[in-house]
Amino acid sequence: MASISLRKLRKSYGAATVIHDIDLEIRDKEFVVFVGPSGCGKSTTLRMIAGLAEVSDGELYIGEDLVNDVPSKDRDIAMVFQNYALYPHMTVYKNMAFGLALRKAKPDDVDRKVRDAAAILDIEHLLNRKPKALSGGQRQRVALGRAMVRNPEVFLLDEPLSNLDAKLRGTMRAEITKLHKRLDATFIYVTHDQIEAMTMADRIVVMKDGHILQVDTPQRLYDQPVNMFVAGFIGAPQMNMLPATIRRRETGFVAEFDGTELPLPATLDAARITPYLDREVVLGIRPEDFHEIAPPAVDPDHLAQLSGKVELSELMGAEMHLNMRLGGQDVIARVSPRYAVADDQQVDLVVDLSNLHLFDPETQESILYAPTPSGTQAAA
Amino acid sequence: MIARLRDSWTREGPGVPKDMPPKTGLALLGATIRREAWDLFMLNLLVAISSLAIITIPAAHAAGARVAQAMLRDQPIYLLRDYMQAFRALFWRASGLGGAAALLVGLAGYGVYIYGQLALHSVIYTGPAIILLAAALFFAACALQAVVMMSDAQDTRGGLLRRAAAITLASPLHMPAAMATVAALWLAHLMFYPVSVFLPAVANFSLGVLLVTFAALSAKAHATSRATGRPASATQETR
Repeated sequence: MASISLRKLRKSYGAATVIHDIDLEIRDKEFVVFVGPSGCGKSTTLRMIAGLAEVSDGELYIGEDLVNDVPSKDRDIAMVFQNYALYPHMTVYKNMAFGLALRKAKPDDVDRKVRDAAAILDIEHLLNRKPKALSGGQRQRVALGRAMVRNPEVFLLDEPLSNLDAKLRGTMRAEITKLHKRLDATFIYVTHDQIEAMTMADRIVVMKDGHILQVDTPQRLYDQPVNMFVAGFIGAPQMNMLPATIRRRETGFVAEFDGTELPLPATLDAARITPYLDREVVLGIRPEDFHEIAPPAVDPDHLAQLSGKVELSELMGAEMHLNMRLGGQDVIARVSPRYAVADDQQVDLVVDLSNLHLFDPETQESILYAPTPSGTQAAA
Repeated sequence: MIARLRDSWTREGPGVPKDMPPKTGLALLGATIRREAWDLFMLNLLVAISSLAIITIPAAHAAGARVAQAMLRDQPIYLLRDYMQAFRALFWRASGLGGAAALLVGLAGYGVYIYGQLALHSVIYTGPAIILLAAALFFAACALQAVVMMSDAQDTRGGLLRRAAAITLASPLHMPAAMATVAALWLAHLMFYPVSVFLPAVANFSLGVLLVTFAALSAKAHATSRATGRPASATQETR
């Protein structure tokens, strides 16, 4: 069993606390991604799990064992670093075998494990090469192989793809995901790249300033962010945040924005919206919820029309991003690349309100969704 | 300064294509020497030190040949461990073969000396002298071929001497070329002494073993190709 449990885990450097009493339960064989901006504490948390940084307070369990004071080498974990940390004077084979050799494993076992890992990672032709001859992707594979040969219960990966170019990163993302399925081990992966997080994770842990903001599956994290930070951090282009006021009309609640009343879907929880009646809120609309024509699959009651001026259109190939000015606010809409529109043109766009988000402008918390402890978030 | 040093260690390389055609011939030898330069230096020390007892010379060279084969085949090696294992495993066979070869080459060489002296008085003795010289060369080439084949962990077939002799006859240029190059290495050491005082300590033993191993594997590949009628390069044989 390689479940991992963080209970009120804290990390302090003198008076400065960088990880604030975080709680997290990671299940056996789960692929969990820690994501957040630089300095949010994700790598520090990983290093505490690895045993490379001391736990200042709280409890850290791997399986049933409290490992706060267990040395890193005895935790049955393997770590892959951002800079690969390969020994430059050793061949790939020796780099991969080094950990086993330190543990006095039999040479035949070492050889078998190294060759097995090399076969899985398709680096058999590199075994007698030194790191200086290898490209970034090849080095990354070697670093993964070095972790694999130890057959650990838990893999810790600290931004392992950050040094690769975009194309290779895409390939390696898929390879790591496949590797996780094949090895059937617990993976904890740190990144600041939300695409990596979304594509690889069973669950994502969003961190900021040493706090865990939300823990959830990628899709729920995207659909039901619990605060403005998560809503803005996950998704590219990021969610549009518009100031609006909640009003009650005969037909139901509306969000009044720039003189336009956007009807809130009746499916939203009225009890959560009522306290914000006639108060200012932040309306969150994903760029893909703007459409040039009304999408036929959406209930017409959930659609509204907004007019804005296109300041810049960016053709991305498969889609087009319209940077627009909408009621004094900057908005990005993601539309079809075949949408004929010119810069400085006034356009009418249809907004799908069935996926809208409402946030409290003071607390920045979601009005519609609330987190539950230890991250298993449920829709409110 | 430290950053530059670190960068020189950690800078990404060009990568190693998986489907890159394997090097063959002298290109393979050159690539091996470049790639394994440090290990060749260490191997040189090992062979030199373990040859000090004289009687251990054949085993030292046989062990060196096993390591050299791994280098040519681009296989990972743990130099000291692999060398010592090979040294222990091959000691008796290599010593027996080396002793017999030394005896045969010595006898043939002595015959060359005797008939060479006689040829100074009567030209008719040049015939036996040349025949014995050829025999001495053949015994030496055959013995070196056999030592390399004996040290080949992948070659477990019997009839070592018979096969070594057949290969030496079928590929008569490979091993003599290697022997001439090794001789030139030692000659260079003697000619440029004392400037070349460190040459044996740095390269002569291991480079000699590598050259002989390369020649033996190439000769084997060449002979196999002739016997089977299929094209076979030294690379295919050595990998």
